[in-house]
Amino acid sequence: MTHSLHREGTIDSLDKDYAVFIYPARGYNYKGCEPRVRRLVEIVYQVGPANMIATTLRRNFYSGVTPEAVLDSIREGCRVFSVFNSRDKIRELLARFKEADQGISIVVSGLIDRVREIAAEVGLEPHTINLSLGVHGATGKLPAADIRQFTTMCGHAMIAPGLVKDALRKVKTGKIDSWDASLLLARPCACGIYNPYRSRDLIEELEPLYSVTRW
Amino acid sequence: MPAIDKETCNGCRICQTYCTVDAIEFDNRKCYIVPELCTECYVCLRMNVCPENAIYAEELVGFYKQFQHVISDPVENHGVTGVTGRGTEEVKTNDVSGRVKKGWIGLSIDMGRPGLGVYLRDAERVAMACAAAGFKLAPQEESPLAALMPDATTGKLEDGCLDYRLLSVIIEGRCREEQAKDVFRALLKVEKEIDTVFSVGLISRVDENGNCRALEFLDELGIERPHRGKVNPGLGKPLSID
Repeated sequence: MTHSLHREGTIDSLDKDYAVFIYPARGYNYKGCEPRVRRLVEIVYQVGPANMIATTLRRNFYSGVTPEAVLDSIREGCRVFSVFNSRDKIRELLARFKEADQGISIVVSGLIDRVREIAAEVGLEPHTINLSLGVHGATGKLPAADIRQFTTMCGHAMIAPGLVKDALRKVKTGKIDSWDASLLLARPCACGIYNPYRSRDLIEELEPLYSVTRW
Repeated sequence: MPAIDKETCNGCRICQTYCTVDAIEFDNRKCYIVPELCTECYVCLRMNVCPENAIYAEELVGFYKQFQHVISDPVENHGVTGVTGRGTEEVKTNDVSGRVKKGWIGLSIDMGRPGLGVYLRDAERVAMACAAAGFKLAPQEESPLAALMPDATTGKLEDGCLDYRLLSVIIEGRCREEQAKDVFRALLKVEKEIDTVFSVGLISRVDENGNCRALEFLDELGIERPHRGKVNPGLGKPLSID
């Protein structure tokens, strides 16, 4: 999956948005990985993610699922996707992952220099990196850049540009607040790395700039 | 595939706001799905967006139709790669799998992303351009798209699939570092020949000094240096060192 790689936005906004993956490797450490994945997920909970999903459950933080249900759902080959909204949390998480030494692949996705700085601070050397080289082709057909800040938070493109506009309209017309609008946008994201905190900030920033024809 | 029951539809148009690729049209106070535009992502079904339950699933007939759905819907698990949606393990387990080794680079070319969708004929154009430039396309065990590619050395897809539209699909593979410039030149040429977009991820090992040689040729080709990326800090075991 490349679904966290191409998030768009300003540097300040992206600095509050780091995705973390726990990923057993098929053919290598897949079999019998459940207790090790479970231990890593416990650490994720202790540090405090902004959103999270286990592939065995496919329900994110905001769909009424309890931490116990997530932990109970972990089976062989379960992968866990999460997102954090501060560098300090990523630092703490990586330090605790390193100490826990469970032998399961971990990937952190975000501003590349920041992630490398954090890794260095906790004594980890990057093994492999995957760099986003941007969007090419018929870019004139893309939705507006401000809308893409939301839609690219779900890398599988489950969040429609029309839904973002609808959420902004609902906030603008006072039907819902910016947090509830963010949760509305987070719902279609099946991979659990839509960051509702960043989304709320973006809505509050953009809402005054939008005009509506329908109240 | 999803369809809307005309009798039940009340014309509220809520489903249109959820459609990821604008495949739902409105006419005569009713909504309907345009089959040629729908990517089978199933957001409209999975989210139960219709207050009248007018949206229902019709059977997906044929391999290409099922492929379209499995790749477009991230909830579905791909049978060969074992990964949900159109993705693969790529960099995420490279510390263990060693899929991309020192002296090589990997590319993940995410066709149709972000949010435009892609007809497989455009994916074929890009895959063939990369293959002709020396890019080794990933086999079926590593990439779902290879299931439609009888010969990975050419990148040509099966003719019957070309008019199917997916939410996105990834062209994956690798080449020696010294071939990377040719592959990127091919990408910069073919991007002008397609009717959609693609997002590129460049996968590289980091040397013992923390450097990534792949960045050097980006400067030569005038490609902007990236500010976003994924870091695999090597916590997996057994660690691949070559």
